[in-house]
Amino acid sequence: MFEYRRTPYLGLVFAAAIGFAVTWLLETPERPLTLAQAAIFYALSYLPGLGLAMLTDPAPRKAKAEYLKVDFYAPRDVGEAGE
Amino acid sequence: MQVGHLALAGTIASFAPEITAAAGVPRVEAWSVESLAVVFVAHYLPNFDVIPIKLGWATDRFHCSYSHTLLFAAAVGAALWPFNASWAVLAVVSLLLHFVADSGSSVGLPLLLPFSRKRYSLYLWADTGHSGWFAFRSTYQQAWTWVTEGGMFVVLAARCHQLRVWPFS
Repeated sequence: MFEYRRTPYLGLVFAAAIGFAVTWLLETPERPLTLAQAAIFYALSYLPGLGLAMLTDPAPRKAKAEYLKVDFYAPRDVGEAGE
Repeated sequence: MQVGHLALAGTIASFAPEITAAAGVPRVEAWSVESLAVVFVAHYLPNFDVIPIKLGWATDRFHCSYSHTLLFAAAVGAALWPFNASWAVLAVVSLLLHFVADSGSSVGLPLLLPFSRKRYSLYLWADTGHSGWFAFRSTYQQAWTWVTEGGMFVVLAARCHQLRVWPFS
């Protein structure tokens, strides 16, 4: 899934940035986030954070390029005959 | 988009009061049973095109065809309008946002069918089929699916916070 070992860790960096931005946008002095609530935002931020990190990794790009070559909706009987 | 549709549907249902108010139809509460049911059914309705494919009534190419068109959204809205205008508005918004969510897929959406066969796509990720484990796994080998779908879960959590829903109550 990844070509670089750094990718999942880079995802953590992006997640921290996204999590910080989200908590900064949402948190108010009257309604501070608890530690658990902030942890939920930081944990969820890892999902798009990992995606951003994957944009810097060649493996996901290669996977996309390979899949783009295939027509997954081609009629099955024709596909089998072709094989 | 696959799992991200869950978060997107939940987010749309959280905006039900704003959507219905903007359309001038009777208000529907955020995350009420009514808003959740209408939004989730409408949001997933385009993907029910897999059912005739699985039953052998249609070819694989039927996926992301007529059910992913502006005409389909208009037809669903028009069919619901006489019964419940709020449901019609929520359904149309849910359908249109389903199309937006799917616009990153390379399969492309024939939004203007039957008037045009042109498929519209942002080509953010390669489509790898309509169902099954391979389609699921290969979708998440690509970067933009994580960015867009993961981002939707962050947005949904933000809405939970704004509406003081557990665990942000």
